[in-house]
Amino acid sequence: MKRLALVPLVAAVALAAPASSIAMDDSGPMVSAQFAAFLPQQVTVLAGKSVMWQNESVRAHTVTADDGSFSGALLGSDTYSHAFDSPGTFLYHCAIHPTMRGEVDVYRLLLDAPGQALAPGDAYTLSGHAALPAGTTVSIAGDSGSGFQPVGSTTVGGDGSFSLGVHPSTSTTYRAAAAGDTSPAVLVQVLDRSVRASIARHRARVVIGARVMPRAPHAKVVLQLHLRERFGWWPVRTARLGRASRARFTIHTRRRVSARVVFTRADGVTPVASSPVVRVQAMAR
Amino acid sequence: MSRILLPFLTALAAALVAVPAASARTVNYWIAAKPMTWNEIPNQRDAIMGTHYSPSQTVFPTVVYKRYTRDWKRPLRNVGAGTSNQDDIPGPLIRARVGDRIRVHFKNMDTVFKRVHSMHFHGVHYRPSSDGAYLPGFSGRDAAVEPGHSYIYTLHAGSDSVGVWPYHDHSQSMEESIAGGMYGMLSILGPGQKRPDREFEVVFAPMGQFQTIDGRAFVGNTPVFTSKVGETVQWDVMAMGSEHHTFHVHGHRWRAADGTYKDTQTVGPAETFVFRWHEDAPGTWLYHCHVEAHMMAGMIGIYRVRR
Repeated sequence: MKRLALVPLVAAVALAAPASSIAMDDSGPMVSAQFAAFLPQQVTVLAGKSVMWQNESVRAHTVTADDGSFSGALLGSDTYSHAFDSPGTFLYHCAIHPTMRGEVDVYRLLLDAPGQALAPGDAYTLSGHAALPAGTTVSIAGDSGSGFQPVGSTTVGGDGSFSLGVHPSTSTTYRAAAAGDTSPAVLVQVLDRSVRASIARHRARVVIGARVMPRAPHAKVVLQLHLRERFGWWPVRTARLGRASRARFTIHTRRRVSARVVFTRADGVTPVASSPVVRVQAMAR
Repeated sequence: MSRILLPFLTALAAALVAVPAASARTVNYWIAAKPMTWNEIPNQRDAIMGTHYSPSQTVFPTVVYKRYTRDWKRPLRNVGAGTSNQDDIPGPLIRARVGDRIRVHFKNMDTVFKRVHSMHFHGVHYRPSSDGAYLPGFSGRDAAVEPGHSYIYTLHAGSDSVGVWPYHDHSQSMEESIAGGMYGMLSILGPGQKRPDREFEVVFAPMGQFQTIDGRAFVGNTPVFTSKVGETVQWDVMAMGSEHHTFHVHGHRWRAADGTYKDTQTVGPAETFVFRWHEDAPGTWLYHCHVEAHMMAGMIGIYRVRR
């Protein structure tokens, strides 16, 4: 009995679904329909691009706009795509499971999220995309804690992208504005890291410990010794910080040691922060 | 002589001549073209002139020849302990004696640039199939080892192979490879010749904006050679690239192949010279290319002799 009742509902939903076309060149984010949720619950997309929903659960779902502007069925492992042409916030739900809710925010201007934290004074290329004609001027403003100030301006390229080089000295929130539209803000974190080092001699073994704050698990640190025959600071070992942002080096020498630990970029050479010099005397005869 | 004895003696003489003079030895080396990040100036400065260099000027990705254990299971140092040469550049020192057969097992592990590579050896005897030089329509797999693939070069050290010789990439990627440090040396001893206590490899070559010794520029970065008074020290000097260099060592002099004494000797691209001395001068000495522009661009290092 129950089964018969369900079939007409599914059929009705299937009939109501408009033909979905997945355009390969204007694809945007993907949303997964789970057992009882849409994941991610909120996505941001550039105007003109599509959002694609994929059913990754054992149940049938729908993607139905609260305002009725779009609707699609997700049976089995179906996908459904909808292109969002105008900016705005679009709430949607599953018609079969109404507690399943989602949100699509559409903008004409978007800034790319920065990958990693920078060191003070680093050059960074702020980049983004705009659903605006090539040649449109985009103004970038930054807020380092005392409100948004203009930082610079650039123009939209043929492929809709734009970029601007910035040099934040501290963590800064940036946003882009053009032709009356504003992008959501992105935070570019600038971290002033410090390195602490300790040194201890156990007969012919010298152990140098290092700690980097704020934490940077799995980042590279280099042990450097000040050596006369190397005319300065000489890298002898490279290690990766553990989960607690610490590392340990052991060297075997009876001589006096003058050492420091340098927190570097991924190349293992470019210094970001350096510990003070730590010293230990030569091994007692 | 009876008709039986003469033929018997002739046959015996022929048999004696046919016996090989000494049992031929085969030496095997496992070498790979390995990508890595290289820093020409680890102390980031020209200590003599006081100039500072940032990592963006001195660090770059490259491919080098690296020595491995059998079947490339584990990496090994390119040169043994006591030579003072740093690892990776130049490539593994291939040591053999006159009469040896040398089999070099080469694997291309270049997953970064994905270039073809090869090995081409000077001074030793080899068939065209072990030449390693790219010539379309003529050369084979020896000259174009693709990433992920390997090849075995078979070489023979003849009596005319005594000395030190270069080897380097001779595939289509030759120019970029050599500019990035893909070169090394063969060191072949004569029959009965003893190994020196120290054998130093010196390769002069340009690298980017600097003039390097074994891929490094300026004192402290170039090899810090060390020895003790009384040791037999051998210098293997070679050049790669497009310029001539003049090798000079302070506080010492040597007898060149032409019998004269020198303390400064010219070496051109792919040329080598080798000499020995009995160390007798304690101190820290400079060694460098005496072409002034090269010395100022990094072709200088130190040699430290202990008592």
